[in-house]
Amino acid sequence: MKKRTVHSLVSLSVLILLTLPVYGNVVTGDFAIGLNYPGFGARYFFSNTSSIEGKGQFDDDISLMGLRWYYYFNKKSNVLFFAGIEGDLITFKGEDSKGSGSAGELFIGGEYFFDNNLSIQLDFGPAYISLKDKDTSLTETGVELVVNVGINFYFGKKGNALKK
Amino acid sequence: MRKITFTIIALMCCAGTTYAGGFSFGMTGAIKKRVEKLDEKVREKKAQNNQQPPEEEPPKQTVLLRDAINYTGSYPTPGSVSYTDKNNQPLTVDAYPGHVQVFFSSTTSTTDAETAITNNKGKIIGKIPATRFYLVQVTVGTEGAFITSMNQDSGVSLALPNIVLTLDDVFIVGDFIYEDLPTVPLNITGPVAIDNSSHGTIVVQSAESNGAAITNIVSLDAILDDKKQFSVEKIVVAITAIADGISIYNPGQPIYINLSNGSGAKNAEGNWVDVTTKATQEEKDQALRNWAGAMYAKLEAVRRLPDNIRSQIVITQSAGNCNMDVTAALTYLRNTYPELADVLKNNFFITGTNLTATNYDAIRYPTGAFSNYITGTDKDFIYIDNSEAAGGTSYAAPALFAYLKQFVDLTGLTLAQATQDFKQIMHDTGLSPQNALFAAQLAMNTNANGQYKLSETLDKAQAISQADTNDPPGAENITGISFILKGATTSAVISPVMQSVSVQYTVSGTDGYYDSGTQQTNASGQVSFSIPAGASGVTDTISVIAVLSGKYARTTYTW
Repeated sequence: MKKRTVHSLVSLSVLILLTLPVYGNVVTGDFAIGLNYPGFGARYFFSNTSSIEGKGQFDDDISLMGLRWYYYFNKKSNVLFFAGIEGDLITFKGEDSKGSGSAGELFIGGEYFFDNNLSIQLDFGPAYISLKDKDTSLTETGVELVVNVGINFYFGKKGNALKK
Repeated sequence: MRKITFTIIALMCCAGTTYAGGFSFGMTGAIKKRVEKLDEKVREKKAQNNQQPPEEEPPKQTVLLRDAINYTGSYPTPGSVSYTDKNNQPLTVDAYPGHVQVFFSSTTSTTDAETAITNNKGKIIGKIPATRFYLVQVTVGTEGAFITSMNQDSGVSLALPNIVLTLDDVFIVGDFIYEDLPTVPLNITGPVAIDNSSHGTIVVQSAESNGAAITNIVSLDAILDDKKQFSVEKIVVAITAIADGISIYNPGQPIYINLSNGSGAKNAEGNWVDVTTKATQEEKDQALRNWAGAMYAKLEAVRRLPDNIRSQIVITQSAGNCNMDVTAALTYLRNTYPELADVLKNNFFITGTNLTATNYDAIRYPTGAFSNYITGTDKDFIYIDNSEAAGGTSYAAPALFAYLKQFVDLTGLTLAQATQDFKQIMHDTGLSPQNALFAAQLAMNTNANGQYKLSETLDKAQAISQADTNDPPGAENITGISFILKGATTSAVISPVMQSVSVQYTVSGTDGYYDSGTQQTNASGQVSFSIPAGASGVTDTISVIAVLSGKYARTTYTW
């Protein structure tokens, strides 16, 4: 019940922010930190179209650390579309299982700027997940479709926000 | 684009969960789904592991059969074996030529025992070191010399030939599940017969017909020869294996063993000879020595058990055939080996029948062949004429077992105490096992606290015995008895009304007072008796019993 409430609040915040008419612009050297669900990340643009992000996520007895590579299809708009890949290392503890694993994801999505330094993003795609129980050596692998959301705050942004 | 994004977000809001259209919300949401599946796999595997049978416990260490050897070789044809016993008495018995049993004293080390045997040119072919029992092979014809030499050894309790026992089939009634004679501790729960399949089947049936079940047979089938003969040494091994099993698997469990094998006088053709009428003196003597020698081995097998195990065992033993004088044999055993007297008293119940009909095979089994009618005077012998044991002495033993078992169950006595009491009740009153059990039940019914007491049971047993002699026909069919008056003068009436029927009254008070008496009913079917007044507040339990029918009424009276 608590989790449902958090999800709803996040979604509602995104809806409110979407009503703000702002354009975004990213360039090489931009750096951002962000909150994603359910964790945090830091992103660096090493070109005008590509960035790399380190991320960590924590939920109940699951935690993961990973890297994301983004490719932006456009770099000057209120919504910047991108695609990318993600790789994660996982530790987990279930009701009966406990162990570690890895995951990889292909994703596509967009980032909406409602301020020069602030954006929200949404992406989704298929993720391949592989887990292994430590005690029994049993494994579980499979593909899941994943939706990610987050808010990014840019430091020392070189690209300027464009007013409508 | 804003519309598309708006739509996706709206979908998520509507779902309100981590999922929208099959998507997981966040990578951790997707991982969680996979963790749940892995949980299921782990649970299944753990459940499977739990269902697998636990690793077998290593067998518990045998105590009595440690390093034991059960002889499984062939046996020579039985024949007469002569030797001199410890009292320098020359004896001849039916035994296995070349085989000798040696019982060493418990203080003799196994090393010394085995050295003594080999020094006397004997070869050990079977042994139970824990009980110092050895089966030895010697050159045929030298048994007497070997036995004499061994009996001169201070460490030897007794050396004697390996005497022949017989299980004579009277009926053949199909198969019975059996196993080969064991060399390992036997995990036996419940009464057991050491017997063969066909004969053992009737033994089992005889017990059941008389009210208790023999649930196991240690089968001798594998070692019986064509005349149903086998060696007494196998009884020693079987008793020890059963006792060892009790101590390992069922400590504290009482164990009943039935032995319906016998030895007696056989003529040159191998047929039984009635020692009272047809046997020569030589045949009589040999029959007696056969029986006593075999009985010695069985008694020693039990005597050598640890005290805690021996106290849990009682053996019902058929007296054997041929009207042999078992009393004389038992007297001989007690006088020669006084250490065996307590084993006879506490652990053995010997019984026979008075079967006189010419049954089955008149040549092999002449009149009296299965009878031991003349042996009924020994204190450890009980004569039984229950119709269920009509097949002969073999079936008297399981019948007696059945009544003894019921007596133990009824009274709650230890096996040894029950064995002693049951013998005394029958010897003192001449009652059959069935009526002795009946007397115990009556005594407990009339005891103020429902408890068993030997004195009260003897009281009832005497009343039954006298009533059996004095009461008119039909007294056993009385259907009821009731009080007319109670108190200082108490009277009762039987129904249907009958004169001269024995009625015993019993007064058992909370102050420990006990009195009883027997009266004959008058023409009105009534008896009347006086009870001395008790102290104020004392409550007497007053009972009246129509003795032969067992019908009784019970009331209390507080003074």
